Amino acid sequence: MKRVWMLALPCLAWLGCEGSGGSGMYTPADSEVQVVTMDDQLAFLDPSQARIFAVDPAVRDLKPRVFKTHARPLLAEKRNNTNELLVLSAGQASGKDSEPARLSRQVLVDGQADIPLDLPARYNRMNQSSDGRFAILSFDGNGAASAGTLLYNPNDLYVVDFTSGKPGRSRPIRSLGGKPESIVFAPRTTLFGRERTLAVVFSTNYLTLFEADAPTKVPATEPTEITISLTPDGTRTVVPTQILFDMDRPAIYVLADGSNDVFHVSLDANDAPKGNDNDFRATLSLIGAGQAPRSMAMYGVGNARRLLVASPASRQIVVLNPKTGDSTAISVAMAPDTIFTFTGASPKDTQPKERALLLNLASGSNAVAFADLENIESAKEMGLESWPASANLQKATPLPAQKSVLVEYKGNQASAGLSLVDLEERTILPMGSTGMLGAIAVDPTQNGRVWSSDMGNRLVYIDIAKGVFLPGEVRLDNAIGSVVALPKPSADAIRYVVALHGQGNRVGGLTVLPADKPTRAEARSIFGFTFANYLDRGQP
Amino acid sequence: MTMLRASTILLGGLFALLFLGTAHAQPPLYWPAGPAHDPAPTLAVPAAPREPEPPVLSWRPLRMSVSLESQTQWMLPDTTRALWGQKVQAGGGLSAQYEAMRLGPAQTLGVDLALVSQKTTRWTGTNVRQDTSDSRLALGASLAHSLWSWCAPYGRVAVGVGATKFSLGNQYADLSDTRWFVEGTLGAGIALRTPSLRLGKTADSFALTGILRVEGGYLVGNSQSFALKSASLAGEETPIPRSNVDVGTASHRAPYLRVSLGLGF
Repeated sequence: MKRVWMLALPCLAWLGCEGSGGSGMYTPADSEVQVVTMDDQLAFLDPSQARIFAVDPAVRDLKPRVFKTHARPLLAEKRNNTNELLVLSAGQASGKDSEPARLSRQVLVDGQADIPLDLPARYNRMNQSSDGRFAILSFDGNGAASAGTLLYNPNDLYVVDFTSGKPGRSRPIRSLGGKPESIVFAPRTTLFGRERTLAVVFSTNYLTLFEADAPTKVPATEPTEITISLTPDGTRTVVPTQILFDMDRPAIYVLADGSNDVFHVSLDANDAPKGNDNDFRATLSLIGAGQAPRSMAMYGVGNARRLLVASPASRQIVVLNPKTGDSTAISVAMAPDTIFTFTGASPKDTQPKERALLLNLASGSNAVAFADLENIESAKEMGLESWPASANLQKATPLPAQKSVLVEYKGNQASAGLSLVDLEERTILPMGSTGMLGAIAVDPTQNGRVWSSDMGNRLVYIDIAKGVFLPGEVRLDNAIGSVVALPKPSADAIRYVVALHGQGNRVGGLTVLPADKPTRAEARSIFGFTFANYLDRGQP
Repeated sequence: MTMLRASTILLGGLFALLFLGTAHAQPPLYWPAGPAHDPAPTLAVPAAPREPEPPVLSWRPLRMSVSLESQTQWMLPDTTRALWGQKVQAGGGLSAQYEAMRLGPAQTLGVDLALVSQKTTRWTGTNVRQDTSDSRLALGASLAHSLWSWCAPYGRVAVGVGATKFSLGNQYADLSDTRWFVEGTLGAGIALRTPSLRLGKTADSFALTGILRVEGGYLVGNSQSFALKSASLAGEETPIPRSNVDVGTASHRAPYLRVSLGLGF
């Protein structure tokens, strides 16, 4: 017995080490840091730590301001037309720290508390109106599980009017068997005697139209939403993909996968609404638009209002007169799937007129075409002009101030990764590059500076003056993941460009440089800012 | 930890051999006797009286010992838990003890010197690797009272100095900071020992004993404020200025449990 006791001693010591070392490990779920570009600074949401880190380049040491979010933040967005950050949180269902799902508005200023709005459900998708007045919260089925939702009504929407000073309102919509895929807002305008914002919900095979504004009736009753079936015969599957609003007429045009038609929804006043009827009616008509149309644009005013529809399958563009339903098909040398309309001159005509640039980005055609829209219904193919590009295109970014479109070529098929399409001169100006470029960032101001990297530590830029490219380069100390050019000057009146280091910015590393004079001497870096005050967060 | 575990097993085996060996190590007190029918030889010259041999096993105290030890700490403050990434942290090291003074028939005053290290790794919520490690050198004094020759409860105070290294990083960045600390501990425990095994035949010959100490107590040290710094990866002569990131201040106090296993001589 004595010997057994002796043998047990080292085992006890061993257990003392092993048991303590392995217990209590804190392993939260892996999550990405979300980067939000504000006007003059960057905000980083770390969902795993429920923290927002605001890095203001005007702060000399780049020390981040840290804001605690509500429980289990899901996503963060800049509120349109403001410098506020919107954070949608799922909340905590049980336990002593339980709290509801919330949408909070945060001004990223020290000491400024957020404005939380309690939500009735754990929504996990947010769509904003372009003026930043409205947000509609909904369920994205793919992310509902991560929000902690087991059973939910996917057709339950929650409408928030940030200007009302009131809580939002739940707005469930009828379903024809589908669920909201995306939500689009019409421009705010006066319709039928009242200023209002319409929201259109895309679902497979149908649209839902309702007013985002709170009901004006007394007592307040929500007008019934208008559900518009896109497949009256029920034999096809139609998925809405693009919408245009013509608020002068007023009308809505919808393009959908699975249909050769443009869905034309005209809105008319309902002079004698009964019960929960709306004060307007929607009437659907179909306009044939060639074969499998992919994109559309609107041009002209009044009776000259036309829709230009790109139909790559038939290598055509189709001009539609929505008033009469007439259509004119015009053959194009390439298969257009993307349209950029602009008003400007052309090499043959110095008068500014409505014109269009046609591209094929989906299958990567190496040609572009210009269309003079003014008389294209009569001029047909004579109104088109095609040019070859140096390689297959994959992405296009309009630069309205420069009357140009920046196009990026596919993969490594091209020696030049970028070209600038001059819309008025109708030239395609390649930008030489000796290697692959990282993600492209276009200066949001009118400077016309394009930023990128070599996927290593070289920050490159090129200034787009008329026909003259002025390239520059700054070698940073770390590999660059992406580049962000801030839209507005920071508090020190300097506008900055920010190079983000590392994949997913998990550690939190960046370098800031003045956007107008990016030099190494003026650069400053910080690494690890997403761990600011890390020890004070009460974990595990 | 693997090295500590291997050393513990080795020492445990040695410890067991030490004890098991005592059953077979009893030497005869006299020259081995021959068979019963074979009378002992008669010596012509009477031999000088032999010095009686001491017993091979004895409970006589030994003054020195060296030990392998594990030290477990319970990270009570939130900041300490965040620093170490877990609630309970274990480390290991070496220590040496010396019985400096006999204060009475059963009381002794001992001093000891210990070098202990601990290290842990975890992954943060954004999949960033967090490493925390420290090493400390502690000088202790203990007052023991032997209840029996094999069992002595004791009280112990110690002061130590050390450094904690805290680092975060992935393949894109490597951030770290090291902070010194001074700490004091107050604890009580019990020391258990085996009988000594004498390796020679004289009273002052070398002897070994196995000793187990189990001690619990509380340690307090200065708080540590960490500011993460990162090294430039590009090797530029004039690197772009980098700001350090204050990650906060970690308290340095914890209940602890020491378990040491050693050899006395």
